[in-house]
Amino acid sequence: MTSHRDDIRFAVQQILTASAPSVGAPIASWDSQAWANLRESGFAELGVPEDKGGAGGEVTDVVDVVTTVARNGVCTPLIEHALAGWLVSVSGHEKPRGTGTVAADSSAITVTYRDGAVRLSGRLDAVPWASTADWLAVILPPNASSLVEVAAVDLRDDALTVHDGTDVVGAPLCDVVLDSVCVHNIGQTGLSMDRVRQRGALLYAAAMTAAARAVVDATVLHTSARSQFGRPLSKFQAVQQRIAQLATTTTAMERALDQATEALASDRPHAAVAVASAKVIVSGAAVMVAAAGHQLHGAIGFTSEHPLGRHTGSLQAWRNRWGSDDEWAQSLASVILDSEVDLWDVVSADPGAFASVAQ
Amino acid sequence: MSATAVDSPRPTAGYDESIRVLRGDVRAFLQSEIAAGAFVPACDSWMSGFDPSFSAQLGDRGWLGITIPVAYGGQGGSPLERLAVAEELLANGAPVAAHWIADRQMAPSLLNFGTPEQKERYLPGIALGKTYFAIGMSEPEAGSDLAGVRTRAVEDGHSWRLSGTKLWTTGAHIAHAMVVLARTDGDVGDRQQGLSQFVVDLPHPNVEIRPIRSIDGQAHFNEVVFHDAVLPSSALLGQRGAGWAQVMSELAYERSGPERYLSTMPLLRAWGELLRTEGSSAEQRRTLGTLTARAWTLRQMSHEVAHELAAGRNPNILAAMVKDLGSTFEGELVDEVRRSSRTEPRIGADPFASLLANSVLHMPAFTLRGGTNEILRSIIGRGMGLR
Repeated sequence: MTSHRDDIRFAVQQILTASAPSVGAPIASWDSQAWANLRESGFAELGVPEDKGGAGGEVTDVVDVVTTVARNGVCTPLIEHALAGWLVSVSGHEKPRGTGTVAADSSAITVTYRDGAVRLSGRLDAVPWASTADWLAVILPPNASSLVEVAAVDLRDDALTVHDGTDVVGAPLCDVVLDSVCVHNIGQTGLSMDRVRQRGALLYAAAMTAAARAVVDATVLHTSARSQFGRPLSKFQAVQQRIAQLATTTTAMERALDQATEALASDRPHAAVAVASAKVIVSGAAVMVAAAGHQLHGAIGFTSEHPLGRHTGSLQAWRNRWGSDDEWAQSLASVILDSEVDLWDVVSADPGAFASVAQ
Repeated sequence: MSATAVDSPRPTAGYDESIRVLRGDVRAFLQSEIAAGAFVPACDSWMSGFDPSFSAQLGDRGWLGITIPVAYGGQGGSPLERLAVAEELLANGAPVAAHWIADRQMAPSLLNFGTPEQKERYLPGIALGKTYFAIGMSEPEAGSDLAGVRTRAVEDGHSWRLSGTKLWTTGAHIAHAMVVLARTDGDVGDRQQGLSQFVVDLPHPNVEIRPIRSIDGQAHFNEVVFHDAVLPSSALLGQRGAGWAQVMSELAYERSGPERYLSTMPLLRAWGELLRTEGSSAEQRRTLGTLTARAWTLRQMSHEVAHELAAGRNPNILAAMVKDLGSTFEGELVDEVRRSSRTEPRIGADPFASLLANSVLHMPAFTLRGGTNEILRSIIGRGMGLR
C-alpha cells in the first residue's frame, strides 16, 4: 500500500527517467526537456494554489518533487520556480506564465512610484536561472510591520539586464540589474522574511540531502564493482569505515530534513528551530559528503562524464543557498540568547517554550 | 534504497501532553534541587555521579522503573515516558549513576529473560532506585571481541562455580548484583555458541572487586575476579547457551539511550547561560547555534530509535549510527566550547572552568564505551552489505 508521498515520488521518477536527463559535470546544457515535462505534468506547479495558476498541494509535495529531481541529478529551475510561484500566490496574485525565479537577497533594491506604476531599481546578485527564466519574483524589504511584499517583473523587460554566469556545477547563476523596471504585479504576503527564508532553506536542504544520498548510492556501487589487490574496494576495512561515516552523516541529514519538513508543513511552534537546525546540519555536511564520495571513487569520479560530479558539484553549489550554515546557526543562537528560550527547550522542542517567539 | 534511506514520514519527537507534563514535573524537581544545592550539574553524571539518596528520591517519585510492570513495583509506563525522564536527568547533569545501569538495561533484561523469582528479587528494588547492578562483559582478553570471553561457569551438582576476570565493570564496587557473561559449554573457539548469563549477588566471599583509577581522577571502573565462586543454580539468567543473544538484546538498550549524545549537554547549557549574561560575539553565536543544531538532530534520531524499539523492532543499524554520531558530538562539544569560550579548564573555584575541566577529562571514554566507534562503523558496514 503506497502513500501519497510515495505516489508523487514514483510518478516524478517515471517522468525523469523518460526525459533522458544529462549526466556528469560541469553541466553542458541543463535539462530543459525534463523541465518541460515536469511543468506540463503539473509537478513543477505544486505548492501554488490552483486558483493562482498552480497545481495545489503542500510544501511537503514540493519537497518530494525536489528530492526526487535532485536524487537523479536533473538540472532544472524547480526550486526557484516553486518559491517564486508560492511568493506571488501568497501576495494575492496569479503567477505569471512561464518559468519563474527569485533572488534570495534583494536588500539593494529600491522601490519608486512613477507614471502610475511601481518601479524597481538596483542590483540583484547571484540569481539562479535568471538567464533562462521568464519572470522574476523580487522580495521587497520588509515594511514597518516586518512582513514582506513581493513584486513580479518580466525578465525580458528592456529596463532589465541579465549578466550571465554559472555556479560551480554549471547551472545559471546571474546578476540582474533593474533600472526603474515596471512591476507586473505586487502584493502583501503577510509573511515574515524569516518564514520566506525558511521555505527556501528547506527546499535546498531537501535537494542537498537527496544529492548526498545519490553520492552514497554511487559510492556503494563503485566500491562493490571496482577491485584492486584481488578484491572489491568495499572489502577493505578503511573503505568500510569511511563509507559507514558517509552513510551515517547522510542519514542524519535525512532525519533532520524530515522533521523540519513536518514542522514547517504543520506550522509547529518550533518550525523555525527545526528548519534552522536542518539547514545547519545539511549545509554543514555537504562538503564532507562530496569529499568522501570523491575519495572513495578515486580518479574516475573526477572525470567529467562520471555521474558523481553532478551530485558533488550540486552539493558545493547549493551549500549556502538561502543562508549558510553559519547564518542559520546564528539564528538558532538568537533564539537562545535574544529570545531567551532555554537551550534545552530549543533542543527538546517544547511547544510551550516557543509561544512568545516570533516565527 | 538502503535500509536507512527515507521511504516514508518518520514519527516526530514531540508531544503527547502527558509526557510533557511528566517532563515538566521532573524538570521542576531538578531545578529546585539545583537551587537548594543538592547537586551541581555535571557532565557524564550517569557514569560518575553516584548518589544513593538521590536515586532513592527518584524512585519514591515513580520516575524509575517506568517500564517495569506495576506487579513488580514499576510504573507500567511506556518507553517514551522513560525516555523523557532520562533526557531531563541527563540534560540537567543529575547524579544518576547508582541506579542507571539497573534501570536502563537490567530491568528489560530481567523482564525478557528472568524467572519469576529473579523478577521478584530484583525488579522492585530497581524501581525504588535502591538496587544497583553492574554488567560483567569485557575481560582483559576480550573487549571489542566479546565473543572471546574466557570466564567459565562449571556445573557442580545444584550449583555453578564461576572463574575468571571481568574488566572495566562500571559500578561493581557499589552494585548489589552483577550480570556476568560466561562460557558454560564448549570452548573459546566456539565463540558465540555456549555462552550464558548469571546474576551474581554482591558482595560474595569469592568475588574480588578492585577499583581502577582513571585519568578523570575517579574510580568507577573495576576489575572483578571470580575465584571459583559458588553460585546457586537459580543464578542462571535466561537460557543456558543463549547468553550471546541475550547480551545482544541488552546492548540494544545500552546503545540507544540519550546518554549517547547528552553526556556533555550540561556544559553546553552552562555556556549558553554564560553567553546570555555576559554577551556573545558573532563567532560564539555560530558555535553555540551549530552545537544546538547537532543536538537537535541527534535527539530526533534518538527518538526514532526509541520508537522502533517500542514497536518491537530491532533498529541496530540506526542505533549504531546515533551512537557513533552522538559520542563524537559529545567530545567535539567540549573542544568547541573550550575554544570559543576561551576558558582555561581548571579544577577550582570557578564552576564553569571546573565543569569544562571535568568534561575534558572524560572525553576519551565517550567513543570507547558500549562499543567503540570503529566497531559501530563495522556494524553499519555489515548492515549496508559491504562485509
